Amino acid sequence: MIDTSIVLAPVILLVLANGGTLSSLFLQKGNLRLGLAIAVPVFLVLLIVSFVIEQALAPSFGVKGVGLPFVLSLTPYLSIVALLNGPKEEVLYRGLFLKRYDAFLPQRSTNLLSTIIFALSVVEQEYFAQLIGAVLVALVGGLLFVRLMRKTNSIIASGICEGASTIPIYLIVILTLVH
Amino acid sequence: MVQPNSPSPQPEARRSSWGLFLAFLAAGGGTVLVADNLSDVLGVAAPVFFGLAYYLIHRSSRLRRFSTITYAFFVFALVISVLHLVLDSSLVNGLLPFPLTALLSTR
Repeated sequence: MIDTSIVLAPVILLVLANGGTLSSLFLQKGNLRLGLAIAVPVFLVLLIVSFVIEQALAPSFGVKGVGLPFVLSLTPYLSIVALLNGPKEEVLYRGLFLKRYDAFLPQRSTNLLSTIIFALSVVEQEYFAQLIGAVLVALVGGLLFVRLMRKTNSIIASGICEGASTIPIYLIVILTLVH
Repeated sequence: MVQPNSPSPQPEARRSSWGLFLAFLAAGGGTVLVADNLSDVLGVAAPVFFGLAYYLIHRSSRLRRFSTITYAFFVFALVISVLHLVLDSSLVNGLLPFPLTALLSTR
């Protein structure tokens, strides 16, 4: 909640102060029906799959995976965190730049550019080896999210999907806190 | 009628586009590296750099078309730096959300 407001508030205020609009950040309703039709099933699937991913990844972080009941008990918390985190990253890494890159580069290049920069942000020095998979997921997912954002002309759908893709990472963080 | 034998602008445009792609990648990647990973050492160097660059580019009539993208990089760098400053502060670090602490304490 804190980091989402730290990102969204200054980005919106600074862009508006410079003569920009909310639609230039993709902060608009867009094609909501299409967006939700894609994002809601993706969110639910990723929520379920995150349990499997957590079980597989936990040993590489030196912790033991937890059971499904515990993961299910965390579902409301994980959902809120994921749904707050997704739009934050979408605005910061894609919404802020896409239409501004488009003035200079073809769309395919701007999609790739924003995706590479987003993937670079995933890299952490401490867990570099373990996060190579996360970087690859960020690259592939980023390309899909940016296409979804353009298709729906809004951050809603891509924000939900992006948030859902971070659920396994939050689960791992919680596991490291538990152990 | 014979057409004048002028060179095709396409390779030039492609080179320019590739150059801009690399420049934007360097700016974005550099910002992530400096503001996100090296913020302890370099502090607010990235937002200061892009803020200054924006000011100079905005004043230049030849480079003004780059002012919006430079401003976007300034906002990007500023937000990442502020995010680190706030989240790294001990005050916020201690604020583990209550539902999570409650859940963890039951284990």
